[in-house]
Amino acid sequence: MSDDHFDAVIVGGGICGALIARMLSEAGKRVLVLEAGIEGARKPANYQQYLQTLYTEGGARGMPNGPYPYNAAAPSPGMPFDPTVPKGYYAYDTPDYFLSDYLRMMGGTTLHWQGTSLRLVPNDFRMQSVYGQGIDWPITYDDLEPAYRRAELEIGVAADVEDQRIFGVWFPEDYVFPMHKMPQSCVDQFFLSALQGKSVALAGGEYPLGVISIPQGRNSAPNERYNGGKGYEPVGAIGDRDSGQRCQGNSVCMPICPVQAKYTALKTLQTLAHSPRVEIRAQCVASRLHADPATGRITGVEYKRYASPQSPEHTVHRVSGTRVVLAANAIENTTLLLASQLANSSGQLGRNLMDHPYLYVWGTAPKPVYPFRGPDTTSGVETLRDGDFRRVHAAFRASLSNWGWSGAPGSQVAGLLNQQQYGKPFRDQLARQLASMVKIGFMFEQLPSAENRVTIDPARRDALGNFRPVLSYSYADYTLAGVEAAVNTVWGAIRGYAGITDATAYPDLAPGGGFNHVTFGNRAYNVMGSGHIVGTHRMGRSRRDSVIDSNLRSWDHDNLFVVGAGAQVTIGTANPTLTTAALAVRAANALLQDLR
Amino acid sequence: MRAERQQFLELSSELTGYPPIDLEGTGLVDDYLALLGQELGAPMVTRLLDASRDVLAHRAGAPREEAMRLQILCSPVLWPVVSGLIQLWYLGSWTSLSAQWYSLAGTAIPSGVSPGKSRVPSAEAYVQQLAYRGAGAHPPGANPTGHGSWAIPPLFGDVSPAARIQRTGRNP
Repeated sequence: MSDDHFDAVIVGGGICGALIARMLSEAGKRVLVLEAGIEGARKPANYQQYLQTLYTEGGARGMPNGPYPYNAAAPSPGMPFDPTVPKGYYAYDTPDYFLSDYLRMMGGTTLHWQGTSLRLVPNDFRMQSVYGQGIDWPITYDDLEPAYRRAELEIGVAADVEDQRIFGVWFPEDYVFPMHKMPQSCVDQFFLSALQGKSVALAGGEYPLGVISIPQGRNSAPNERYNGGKGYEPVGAIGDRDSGQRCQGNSVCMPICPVQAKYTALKTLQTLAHSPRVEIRAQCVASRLHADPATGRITGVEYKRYASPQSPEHTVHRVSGTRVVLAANAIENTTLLLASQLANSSGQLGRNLMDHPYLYVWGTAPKPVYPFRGPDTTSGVETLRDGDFRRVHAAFRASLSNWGWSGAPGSQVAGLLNQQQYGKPFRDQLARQLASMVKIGFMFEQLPSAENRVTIDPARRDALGNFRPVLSYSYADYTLAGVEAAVNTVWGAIRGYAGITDATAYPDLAPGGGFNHVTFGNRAYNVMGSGHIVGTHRMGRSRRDSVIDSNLRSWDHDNLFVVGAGAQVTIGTANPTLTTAALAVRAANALLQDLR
Repeated sequence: MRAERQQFLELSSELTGYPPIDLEGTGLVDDYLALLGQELGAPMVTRLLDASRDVLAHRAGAPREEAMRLQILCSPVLWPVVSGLIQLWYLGSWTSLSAQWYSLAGTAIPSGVSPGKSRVPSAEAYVQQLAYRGAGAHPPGANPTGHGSWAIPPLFGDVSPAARIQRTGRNP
């Protein structure tokens, strides 16, 4: 074992690890980042290779981890491991599957995130006080607002401030986003015009169906008014700054933006590439933290370094940090702490696992809306993210897809061939079908539940002998009642106003279909995951019912910070990356105060 | 050889509804003809092209459609081939014919062919797939339409307003 010491040792080279490394190193601190996965996409030649893989094997490899190489030494869910269960790197203790992935590679899951950068709304932080559901956060929207702005700078968010002022979301008076909002698609314009002034009844109240642009972590036109008139310079591709200066409509944000117009943590890591104070080590899987039993302080981070992703051969090393930061994502943070038997005096570690259960509805518009162009989604029905109905059922977003129906155009080509169509009629029918497709992705909040959890089992390990996550997961009636309201009431209203012919169906297929087939009320639904893995090491006001405090510091180990979406107390309806990054900013500020 | 290529191009055009110049523009005509040769064997390619020569000799419209129906659509040997070829042009993916088909066609399964298995023969096949083109769109990850283009109707394709203006010769 070798030993070296840093001001901070950060486990994880994703957005939180990269952002904290950046903030600490810019303040003169010496930082080590340990990344479990390969350097991968950080090398431009590899990035190009992954795009080729998307072309030739994308359909066969599954999404969203499909383009990226399988790593036996640091496996990711959604890649080959145990083919008998969905996302086979996970093991399960319940019949419902947890259908969200993350990517263990330099840059982390931002490699294939959608880029949606919504803030939580103020009531998401006080669900118990306002609606009698879930629990309250130890901080409020107001507390997090400055950190949101720092996160929006790091990601380079394209959005319109006026559009985002809903449900009490506020911004300082002169604030604008780094870039102008992404142009809203023809699909958006169809819904904007159809739903203008329209509303829907939910749980005794009437709610508007407001179509609103979505903040995006991808390059649009920079806003010259940003930062007091200093403006903003978009960050292009790694190794080719001229590429990716604008989103050019490759329509493939997930799983890989060909030109890197979308933010990935690689862009933050790139700012550290030449810093003498930052060392980044890939292929180093943190496997155990050591603590001083007397003081509780973390004295060392043990990790396994492997030479090849194909081989279990590895060497064991140990480093130490004045501060240690776990930024390995909600699930890997948890398995590492459980393996170390640390940070769990509350008994909450691994509990309260949440995601946004996700359902598609789809149909045919009465006229062409020209999908399959532009980013996945540029607008949503955002006005059902909060309201009194949250006393009764989940809030939700309705993300308007710019990419037509799932499985298109393959299913339509197959359908026309089944009818023995060919030639010009084939061509015309296919064009008309595709051009009129609409699809909405409903995304629901889940409440924290002690039974939805991550555990470990000595019998279930990966090739390096590290613990695989063992998951217990299900949907509560609160969420499913939201599903029922969305699919029946809201989608019904939208169809009526917009003249859409429904094509939605939820057949009961094998688990390989990528969803849980769930019955609620008088109907069955196919529920997918969103990749929004939240809540396993939540923050709180008291060490009795939370793993970390309001600065993301472990209650049990005062030099340990546990960051990432696992810190969230509730999930609300915002895609979590922006909030996760804002919480990392909050942790970085506390770390800097410590290290002063 | 040249005649065979020309016949393949004309058949592909008839099957896809795209003019030969558009198919030439993909750069894939030779690749796809070669792929058929590998998958079916030369005698079956000749049989297909002979049948298509007969069909295309009929006047466009009802007579040719009837010939197509009788000689190709109704043929349990030729329809699966033609159906696979349309899929290849439209989706850039080839599904090898079934073991049953090989037995029916009296052709040995060529070495390297896995019956029933789908594959994308090349990255270029993915990039050049025709399916999105009529809708004024493009394959995900390739041939992007430019920043903000998604906010206006497509300027090309079979359903774009621009195409309608051309056809009617006047502005709406």
